[in-house]
Amino acid sequence: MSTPSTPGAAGAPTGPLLEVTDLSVSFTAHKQTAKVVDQVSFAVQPGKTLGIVGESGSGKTVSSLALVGLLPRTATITGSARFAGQELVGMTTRQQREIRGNDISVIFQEPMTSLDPVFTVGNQLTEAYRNHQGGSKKDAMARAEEMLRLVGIPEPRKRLAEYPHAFSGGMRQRVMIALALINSPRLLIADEPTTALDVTIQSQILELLQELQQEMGMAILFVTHDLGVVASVCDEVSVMYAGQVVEQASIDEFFAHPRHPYSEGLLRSMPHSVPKGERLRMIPGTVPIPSRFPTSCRFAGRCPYAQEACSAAPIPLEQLDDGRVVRCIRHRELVMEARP
Amino acid sequence: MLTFIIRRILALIPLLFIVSVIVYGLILIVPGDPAITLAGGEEATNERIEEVQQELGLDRPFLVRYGEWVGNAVQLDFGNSLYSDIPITEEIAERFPKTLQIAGGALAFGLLVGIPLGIISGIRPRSVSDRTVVIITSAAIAIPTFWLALILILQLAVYRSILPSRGFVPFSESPSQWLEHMILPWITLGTLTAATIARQLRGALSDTMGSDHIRTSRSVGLPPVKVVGKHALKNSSAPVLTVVGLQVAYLLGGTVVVESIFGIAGLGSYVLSAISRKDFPAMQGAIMFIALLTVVVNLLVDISYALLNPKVRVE
Repeated sequence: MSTPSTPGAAGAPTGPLLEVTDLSVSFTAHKQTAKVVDQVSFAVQPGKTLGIVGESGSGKTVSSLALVGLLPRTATITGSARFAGQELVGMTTRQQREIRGNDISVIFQEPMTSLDPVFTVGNQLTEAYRNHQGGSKKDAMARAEEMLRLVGIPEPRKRLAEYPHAFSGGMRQRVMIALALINSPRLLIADEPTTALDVTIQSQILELLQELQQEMGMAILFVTHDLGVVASVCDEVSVMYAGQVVEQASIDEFFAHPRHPYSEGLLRSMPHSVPKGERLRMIPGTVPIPSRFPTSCRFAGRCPYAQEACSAAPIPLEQLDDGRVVRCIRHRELVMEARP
Repeated sequence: MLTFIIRRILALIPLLFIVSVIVYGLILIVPGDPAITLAGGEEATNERIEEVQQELGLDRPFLVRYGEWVGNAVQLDFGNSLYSDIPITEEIAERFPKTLQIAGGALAFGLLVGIPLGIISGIRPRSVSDRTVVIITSAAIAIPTFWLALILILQLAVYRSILPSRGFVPFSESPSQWLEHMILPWITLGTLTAATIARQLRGALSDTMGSDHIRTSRSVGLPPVKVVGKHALKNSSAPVLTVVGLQVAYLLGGTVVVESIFGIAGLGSYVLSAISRKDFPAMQGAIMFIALLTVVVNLLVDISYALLNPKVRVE
């Protein structure tokens, strides 16, 4: 059953496909609790792509995997995540399994290790298909072949019988995409799907994802640290820092006028935003570890615009008139540019 | 795949050659001269000893004797026992089935108990169930076989007459009595195997459970039965297979103790009596046979690696 039982949600033309509100994730180890994701909110519109950007340790992967129950057992998840009218937080594992790979699929960063090395590609694809759709092995094989063709793998019928080690990194990521999309999900969570690939392969995979999105109409939650990738595939962007959302905007607005000093720092650190021959820029320092997140502005320690007030009290997330969202008390006075 | 198997079989030839040198060379190391024993022990006269030595061919150089022995051994002829004068191959053929039943049953016990324990413990490392299994298997590894046998005999055969304490009944005679007589030897010998398999599987499985492809299996919504039972287990099977291969060698050797405790005339007790009687041909024949068996089992393990892991086939 892929149609959700909740009334009024499935076919609704307006409203987001996924609406995450105040999602928090904490991990408990050795009787210490660390809140890795803190009251994150974002929304993904049907058929659109939302990028979640941030450095390593910003909580972007954790907040996306929390949606489908792929975090370790030590994780505690609170808040709300409504997917097509269904509440994902607090679902039983059985309900999660029904949604996973069916309505919401995931592709991961590591194409080299994300496929099971001891089963053929065909076996893994048909298994995923029959797990949700049932049906005969023959039908599943036909569907698997169709998917391999769709993701641009030559001679799909022959390759179904091969093991993952016979595929290159880029080809494995294509297989992984075929695996994720075989049940035509409505939402694809792409967790840094191109980070481990060569630059040329990267752009091929991004193009493929965009083509498939148009063809199959799914929404994509694109988790990445690469703003170049965000610029080419996303409709909207949500910037995360140290477990919090610090800015949300449409792509054009974001790249033209970032509102948060962290966004500005990220944009200015992109290699091509620096004129040739000049030193590459960077944001000094690193993301603090979750147990040492400040209660006030978490970026203040690395922020070139920080004032005393920044370290005094928690900074609220502010909804602006133009629909943008920013977490900075100085955003009105500061004029920021993507290029230095 | 076929060339892989042929290559592995060819690789056995030098291995078996080395084993045969060591086995035959034992005669030089072990104290005592079989000729003296056969000639009448302490009271034997020098002439009688020389006579016997000539009969046995012991007066000829070592290499000549070795060459002749290997030539015959290749045709599975290990000569006649010095003690009974019956062909050793015949004696092995008569006794080996019993040993095979003990070792095979113990291996089955080890797998049937060890695999479930390993799964319970490996899918959730450091949980209460895992810690319990670790304690049980540590104890099982530490317990000496002979002591375990005695405790089992005392508890199940002497204090409560649930099972017979010794002896062997052929399966063809009475299947139920055969089973009754086999249970204690199986448990005695199989306990260490079960514990070793459980520990090996625990380690392999807990590693596999943390791997990316298991996360993928979960991400497509597979139920735990498939994630663990299909994907994780097959990926964790190689180290377990290695251990099973080693355990077969242990089980075949371990029957020596078990057979003498439970009074079963198998290959193990045959080796033991051959040693005490200084019956060198019997000793060499039986040990060579056990070595051959071990090597063949390890060949099978190698082949199953290739069946389980597609990458091995390529290499």
